[in-house]
This record gives sequence, C-alpha cells and structure tokens, in this order.
Amino acid sequence: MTKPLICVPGQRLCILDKIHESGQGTYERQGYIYSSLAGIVDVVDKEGVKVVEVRSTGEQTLVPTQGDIVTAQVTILTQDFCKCVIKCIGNTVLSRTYRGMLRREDVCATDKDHVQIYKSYRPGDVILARVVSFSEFSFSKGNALTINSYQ
Amino acid sequence: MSRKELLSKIGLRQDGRRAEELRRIRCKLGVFTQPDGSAYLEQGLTKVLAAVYGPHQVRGGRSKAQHDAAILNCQFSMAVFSTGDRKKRPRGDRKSTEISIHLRQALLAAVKVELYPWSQIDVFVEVLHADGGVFSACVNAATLALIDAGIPLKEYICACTASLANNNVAMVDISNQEEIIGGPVLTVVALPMSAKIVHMEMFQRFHLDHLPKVLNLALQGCKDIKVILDEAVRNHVEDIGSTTGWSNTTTKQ
Repeated sequence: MTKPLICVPGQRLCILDKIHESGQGTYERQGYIYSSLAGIVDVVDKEGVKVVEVRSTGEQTLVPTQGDIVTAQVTILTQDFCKCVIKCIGNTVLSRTYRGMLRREDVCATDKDHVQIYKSYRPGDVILARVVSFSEFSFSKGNALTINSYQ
Repeated sequence: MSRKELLSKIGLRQDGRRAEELRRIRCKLGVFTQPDGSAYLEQGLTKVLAAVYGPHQVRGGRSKAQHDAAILNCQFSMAVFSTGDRKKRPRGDRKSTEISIHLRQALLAAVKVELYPWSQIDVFVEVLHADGGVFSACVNAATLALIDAGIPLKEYICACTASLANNNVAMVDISNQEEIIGGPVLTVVALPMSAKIVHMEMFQRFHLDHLPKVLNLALQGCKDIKVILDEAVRNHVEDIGSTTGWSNTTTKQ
C-alpha cells in the first residue's frame, strides 16, 4: 500500500475546475481547494468529477443533520411527544449522545390525529428514526420507513 | 552586562537568544482521552494545556443556540501556582475574562463554525507555568487542540509577541523577565498562510516609526511557529494513522 498523502488545515490541495470538486473536509478559496482538517487526502471519482476529500484520522464528532437515519432510545413519554437519546447516526456509534424529541404528529404518515404515543412506544424502546428538523429545542424526529421497537 | 539591559552590545538577550530568535517550542497533540481534542504546548518556560469538547448540543441556556453557526465557548484559566506569587483564583478575574474573549475572537477567524448549526464547541485553556507570552502560547495550544478534535479550520492560527529593545532593535518572543525589565510588548495573532492579522494588542508604547519593523518581526515569528506546529501535526497524524493502518477514518453516510 502506498503511503497516504497527509495534509494539514489550510494546505492547498489542487485547483478548482470542472474536473475537481471540493468534498468533505475541504473548502474553496480563490479558485483553489484547501484542506480544513488534518488527515489524509482521498479522491473519489463520481460521474467523471473527481471529488477531493480529506479524512480525519482520529474519531471525528458527528452532528445529526436533517434527513439522517438515527438510532435512538426512548426515555420520557408524554401526551404530545416522547423524548429520546440519539445513540447512532447511520452506521456510526456516537461517543456522546444527543437529545431528541419525537412529536405525536410525526409518528405516523397517515391518520395523524388518532396516534397515541403510549401505544406506540414505551421507555427503553430502541427506535430507528429520521431527523425531520432542527429546532431551538432539540432534534425533532419523524419515523423512518420502519420503526423497530424491541426491548 | 547590566541586569537592566534588554540587548547586550554583542546582540544577545538576557537568556542568550538573539533578537530574532524564538524560544524552544515543544508540543504534543492528544494528551488526554476524555476531551475530543487536546494539546500541550511549551514555549520556553511557558507551559499551556488546551482541551476541546465538541461540537455538541448546546448546554444550559438553549436560547444561546444559533441557527447558522456553532457557539464557540472559550475559557482561559491560570493555575494558582503558575506565577511567582500564588494567585488567589485561577479564573474569573478581569484579566482572565479579557483573555477568554480575545481567544474566542481570534479562533472565530479560522474555525468554520458555519458547518455546525445549533451546536457548541468548548475550548478550555489552562496555563501551568507563566513565563511571558501567555496569550500567544494559549492561541497556539488551542489551535493544536482544535486540529486534534477534527474541527474544520480555514488554516492555522498562530500568535507571537515582539518588543523593542534599546529603542531601535526589534525582538521576538518576549519572556517574563524581559516584560518586567520594561519595553513595550506587541502581541499579534495571525493567519500565517494568508498573512492576515486577526488580533493585535499592545502594552506600553513606542514611536509609530518603529511599528513596521516590530510588526514584521512578530509576523515572521508567527510563520516560524506555524512551521513548528505543522511538523507536530504531521507527526501526530502519521503516528495515529500508522498504528490504525489508516483505517480508522470516520465518514458520514
């Protein structure tokens, strides 16, 4: 295996043109792609466009964003919502959990008015959900294609 | 050589350095396991520890959360045993609060906070031994800790001090002894790759005519420090990468 190319924040990686695009861990400035992380350079070929990415070597902290599938555990139930802690984002297990809130109207796609939270969830349930929005309070979450509840 | 002389006739300083010579800088990344990123930096006898937590969900008053950027929270503290006479409290006094605010302003220039809305990044800096250039050492240590935490930066943030000796010669990287003897101290925080000044601060004063040469020397000091930090970061990345076989890279689906 060839030795990977190490880069540091602020290092100029390549010129920004039709073939090269800036990806994760990089940013664009004055027509060039610069690194914003310390790590190794990775070039991904995507439909003829080379996406330049920088992968950090250590554990990188992830923040859930809209549309992510997350694994969470239910903690508190109320009439209108249930609170939970997010433990995984996608396939990555978080080292530190995030608080999330699942509202009643987000539980089912149809028949929203007749949803009763306590019939769907119990404290301790592990659920799979999709982040629908970021609010000032917490991450609201809607159900994903499936809600797997088990204890 | 009299005690009061900043620069001797043969061009040497109190501690034997030349005017444009930095003190020895030693640094290490990843000194703690609990925080997301940490660093230890020694600049001469000034010793600083920095720890970075985050980005994480905003704690405490949620009203502080911003929808378009992360909050950068900096805390500067000096160990009670760090100075000659024992300090009463490590933080919370006027000087510490001021340095915390300045540190936050300096770091905001390079940290890409816009990538983490609704979140918070905490930077804690602790001075273990204060021997001049405390603020600049803190900025350099905080940069290393942020890099270790994997927080995106536009580039390195480097800080350096400079002074004027015998009213005509510029000196770089001022020690505590030189601060006491007298002479103005100019602290510059810069982004060395794009040659931008982020923060500039001066104690006492000198004639405006001297400013360009003192400022240039301080900026040159920042560039020299950048080279040293760069080497430390590259060594660290190589160490971590080679032990994990370059596999422990996190990607988000």
